[in-house]
Formats: sequence, C-alpha cells, structure tokens
Amino acid sequence: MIPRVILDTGPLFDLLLSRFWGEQGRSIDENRLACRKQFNVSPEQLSRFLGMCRGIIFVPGVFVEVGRLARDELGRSAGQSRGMSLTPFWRVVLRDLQQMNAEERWARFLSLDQALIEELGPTDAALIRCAQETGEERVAILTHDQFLWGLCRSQDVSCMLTSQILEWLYR
Amino acid sequence: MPTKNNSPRHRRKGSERVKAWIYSVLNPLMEALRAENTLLSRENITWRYRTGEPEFILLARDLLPPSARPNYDDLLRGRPDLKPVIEGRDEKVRALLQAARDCWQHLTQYNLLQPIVEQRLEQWTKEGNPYPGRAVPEEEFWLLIAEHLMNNVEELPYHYANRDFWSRFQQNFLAYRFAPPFSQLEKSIAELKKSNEGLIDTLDQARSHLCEEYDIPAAPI
Repeated sequence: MIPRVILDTGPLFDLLLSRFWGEQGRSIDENRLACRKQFNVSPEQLSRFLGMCRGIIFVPGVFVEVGRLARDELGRSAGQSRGMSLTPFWRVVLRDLQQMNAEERWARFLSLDQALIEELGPTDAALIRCAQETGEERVAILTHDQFLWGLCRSQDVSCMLTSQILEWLYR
Repeated sequence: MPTKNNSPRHRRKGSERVKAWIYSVLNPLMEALRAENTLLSRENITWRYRTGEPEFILLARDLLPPSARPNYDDLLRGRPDLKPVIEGRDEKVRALLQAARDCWQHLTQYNLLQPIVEQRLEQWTKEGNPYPGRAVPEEEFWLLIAEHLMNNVEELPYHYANRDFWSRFQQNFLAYRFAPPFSQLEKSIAELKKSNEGLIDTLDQARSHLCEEYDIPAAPI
C-alpha cells in the first residue's frame, strides 16, 4: 500500500477526462492528456497508482481549475467554447469521487502564505499548506507541475512528479 | 483569395444552413451513436441508481448539446426523409428504457439482491477490509452494486474503492442477469445497436449527398 497523496489539478483532470470519455463509450485520445504528453504515463497507470494509495486528498481549488480545463477541452472538441453544458462531465466526476478513497481538506485563503499565493496562486499554496499539515506522515503532492515540484523540494515539502508514479508501480 | 467557383458569390444558396446541419448535428450525432454502440456491445446501458435511468443512452435529440438542437429541428424540416429512420431508432431507445426499468424493478422490488449484497458486505468487513462504498452511504451500497449489475460491469477502474469487492463477488451478483427480464433487455440492446448502425449509414449517406450538392467539406477546415 502506498501512503496517502495530495492530488494536484493536472493528474486529477487527466484521470477525470479519460473517465468521462470512457463512460460515454468514446475512445480515449491519450495524446490530449498531459500525463501522456509530458510524462508518458497513461491514465490507466494513474488510476492504478491512485488505487494503491491509502487515501487521496483534495483541496477545493483543484475542482475550480478542473472546471476551467474541462470547459476549454470539451468546448474545443465540441467546437464551442461558450454556453456549453458541463453537466455530464460533473456527473461523472461526482460518481468517480464518491467511489474513490477521497478526503477533502480546506484551508482559509487569508491564512495561506502570501509569498506562495503571489508566486503560485491560491490552489498551489493550499496544496503546500495541506502537505505541511500532514506533519510526520509527510504526504506528497502529486503534480504535473515541474515548477511547483522544484519549489516544494527547495522548501522540504514532500512532492512527486507524475512520472515518479512509475517507480511505485513497477518497483 | 477565393477561387471563382468557391467564392461566396458562386456558393449555392443555403450552404451555411447545410454546414450547420453537418457540423453541429450529423457529425456529432454519428459520433455519439458510435460511442453508444461501443457501450451497447459491452451491454453497458449506463444505468444510474440515483436517477433510475441510463445516463448516456438517449433519444437522438438529447444526444446533441442544447445549442445544436435548433439545427437538429431544422435538419428534420429540411430533410424530412431522415425523420422515420431517426424515429425508428428512438423507438428502440424507448423499448430499451422500458426493459431496463423492468430489470431494475425485478432487482429492487422483490428484495432479491439486497440481502445477498449485505451478506457479502458483512463477510468483507468481518475479514478486516474497509467499507468499500466510501462516500456512498451504507444503506445505498446495495443499489450501487445493483447498478454495476445492470451495466454488466466486468471490471471497475483501479482507483475505485469497491473494485476489489466487486471483483471478488461479481459472479454472485451477475448471476441475477439470468432472470427473464434481462433476456428482454439483451434483446432490446441488440435491436438498438442494429438500429444505430442503420442510422449511422443513413446519416453518412445524407452527409455525403449534402457535401456533394453544396460543395462543402464534411468537417470544418
């Protein structure tokens, strides 16, 4: 069993988008997923890794970012960026999250580190706060974002890039 | 620079309207029907216990985003020959919905499945395993299992907490698909699949004909 993990927007969106396509019977175009393009990791490998984790922690900001990415991606594939209903997408998201080992953590915006908000934005600042609050367990953030990963390493915050899940899967 | 024959002045009247038919109705509809047939070939009717209906097996008009539906209505006015074949396919959808409701009623009304799921759940937790339903309330867990059964689920995604529970006991649960209402459901699935194939062919021919007649590409360039 892998320890808990805090999921950033990138891997979460890739997982949910592939699930959305799959649930509709549509073929999964992995080349549209950052996990494949950036790290040569398939959504199935992502799913397998998360299935091995003791828990998956979310901060609310990632869902806001997932909504924005979904509007862009699904709007683009439907040839319309505005006025598109995301209802079917959110239905699949909710069903998936209900069946995952999901935990939600919340941090007050005004309590977040100002320098981190300025540098990374509120979602990443909340992810870092969440990781720090796990104390000795040192729960890692799973991210596609190399900048966030580098910054976490410099601040001794546990963080792993999506490519690193392969080490866990095939060790 | 537009060529002489392709310039707006020479383009046939109505070509913008036909483009709307092709790009916002015919292409997405054919894609949706192909996706639907992928699900149907696995006998996955995308049944949801919370709504009591399939999520992605829909009438033709509902397969399109709301913004494209005026173009769908206009297509059927402009090409009334397509109406009977679409209506024929929608009839098969309604038949499938009825067959699915009968199966659901069979599973839920006669208290057949619930005790079996609860027994297996008790066995599972007594062995020291965590509750596999996670955010699904415990009193609804048997309905979630009934949903998997309705959708003939073979394997759940790796990240689902109930994946191992389902893998272990699925043969016990899927045995309920041998009940008579499920034979009707299987028949309805096969008929809808066949009807979808016929409709895809018809829509494909209609698209080719329109592209030829109005000298427009089959997809935006």
